Amino acid sequence: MNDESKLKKATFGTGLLKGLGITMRHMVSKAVTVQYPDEIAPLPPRSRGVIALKEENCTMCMLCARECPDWCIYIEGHKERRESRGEGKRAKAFNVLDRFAIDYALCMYCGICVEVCPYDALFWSPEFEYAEGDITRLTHEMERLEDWMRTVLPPSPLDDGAKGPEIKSAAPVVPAPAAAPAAAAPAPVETAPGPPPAAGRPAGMSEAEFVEQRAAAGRLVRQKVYEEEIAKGSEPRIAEARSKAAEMRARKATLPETEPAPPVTPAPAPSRPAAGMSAADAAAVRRKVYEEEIAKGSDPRIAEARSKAAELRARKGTKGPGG
Amino acid sequence: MVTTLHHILANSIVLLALKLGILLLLLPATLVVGYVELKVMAHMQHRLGPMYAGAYHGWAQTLADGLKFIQKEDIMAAATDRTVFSMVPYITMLGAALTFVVIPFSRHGVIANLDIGLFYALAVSSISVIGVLAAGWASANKYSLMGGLRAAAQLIAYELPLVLAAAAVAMQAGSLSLVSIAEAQRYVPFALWAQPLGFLIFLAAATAEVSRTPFDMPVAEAEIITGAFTEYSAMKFAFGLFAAEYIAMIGMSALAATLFLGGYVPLLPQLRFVPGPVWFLIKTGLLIFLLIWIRWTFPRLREDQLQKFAWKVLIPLSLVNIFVTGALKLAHWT
Repeated sequence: MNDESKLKKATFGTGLLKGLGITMRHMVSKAVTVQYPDEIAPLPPRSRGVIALKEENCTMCMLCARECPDWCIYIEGHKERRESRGEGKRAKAFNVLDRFAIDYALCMYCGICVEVCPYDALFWSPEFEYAEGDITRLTHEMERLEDWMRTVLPPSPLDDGAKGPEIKSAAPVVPAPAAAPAAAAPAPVETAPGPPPAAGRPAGMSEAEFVEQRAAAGRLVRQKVYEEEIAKGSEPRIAEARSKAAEMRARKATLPETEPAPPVTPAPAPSRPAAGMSAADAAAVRRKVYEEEIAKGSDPRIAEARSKAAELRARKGTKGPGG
Repeated sequence: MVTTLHHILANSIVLLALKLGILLLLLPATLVVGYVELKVMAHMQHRLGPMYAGAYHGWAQTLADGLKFIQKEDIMAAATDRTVFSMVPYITMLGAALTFVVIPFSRHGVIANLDIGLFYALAVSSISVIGVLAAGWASANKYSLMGGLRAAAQLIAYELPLVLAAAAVAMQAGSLSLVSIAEAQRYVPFALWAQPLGFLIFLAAATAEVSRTPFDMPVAEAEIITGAFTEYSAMKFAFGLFAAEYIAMIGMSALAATLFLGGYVPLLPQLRFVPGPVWFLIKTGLLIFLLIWIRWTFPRLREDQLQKFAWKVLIPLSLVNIFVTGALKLAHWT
């Protein structure tokens, strides 16, 4: 009908008909609407729906409450004294959390509290169906916040080759000081044993190495379980949760018996693409490089850095001990 | 049997009831057209539209909307001219509904087969504008007044091409009676033969007449908040604006279907077994869909653009159309 308006245009433009064509094409194509309460669109597994509290990790440091731009986090608590536990030990004071509440009527879901929490006590959960008819009920108290932990996903698996979180051990792996060139032996650095060694830790392996190996083994277990779950047809979220649980079990358990890592040449390892040296070998490489650097007269810090790099190169694509 | 049927139909009371029934069907028809519009618009925007009311694809949505309007409080501002304000829905509804008096649903299914049916239809369809103007004036609201004035100004633009396009049809058919015009298109609608240009002109003018995008400046929600009906609420709003708009749209579509698509006349002689009202409804429905389709495709023009378009394009074209029609008639008949 508006084809007349085309007459004004010198070109007899087809714009109007083109527009009609577009709307017609859209009309006959499928609507994108998801009928929410009846069907639920698949959310990304790490959607930020609600903030969950892991109460036992909270130390009442108040960082979240202070950083919250909306001041919607309420923390109350009190100090308790713990009597001295034995001869010569001090009595200690510690914090007890009485109330932790988030007012979701105020919250703007910026997630700063989750970011800022130094003790992993706050997490994002993908739950979002907690609308209320009464605004006061949007203040979730501790029980409810803890309840959201049910659906909190474990942290994502690390990227290949990425270092896990720093785990502070009493005996950091420091290459033997320059004054100890004889330290070519496999286990020279256990000067301060610190906490009793974890079960299954083989002699000749530092605490940090052991932790790293366990983590690597755990990552393998996790990937395997994840793939199995996906193959079984589980949802990605469920597969991820189950594989995480499997990893945790694997990490808690002692290392697989395959560990010992004799100081021989690295196995060719045909199954995995990147065949790196075993951790023990790599540590040996590190020490060697360190000594060379020191011998060249490098600054100890530089020597440490270069030796570490050499070790990482040696271990690149580290396969788990069980692999 | 047939004669008995004719006897019954000849009974003036039965006939009156039937004819009243046609007018009473207009309200449900607005609900249907409103629902279709909701659905078509939604799908053109990749949505689903109403899905809940009435359980199956939201079929009862417009009914629920209507009931909601009936329940609502009827608010009138202190400064309104209450008498005029309250009369407006009657006037707009009247203007929209009176067109159906002369529209033939089948050869005999017409409330009144007036000799000057076309003239009558065009005349009464302009009554609504009085209602809109009155609404704008009585509301004591500048947006409303602006909307009313826009509606009146728009009349100057579309009325002339509308009438001229219809005049060419009357020349072609040799009659002002809508039944005769429909009969003149037995098996060849004017839109395909003799009056295609007139058809396009009539559609453009009719879109402006029923205030639908791209010529919906009188209601322009985004600029003047539904224009003359800003101050209306509850049932007055439902009838004065919604029902009147949809009835006017159905009426203009029915008129255009009769003038240019042959109304109840089958498109092919082989399809004569399909009853006339079905043909009429199919053709009217197609034009209604076209209006909806256009509404959700094109943006709104400005009032001056419509004036320019109507006076510099539509009117010269329709005069040419009349001239050509007359010349062809002369060449054929003499």
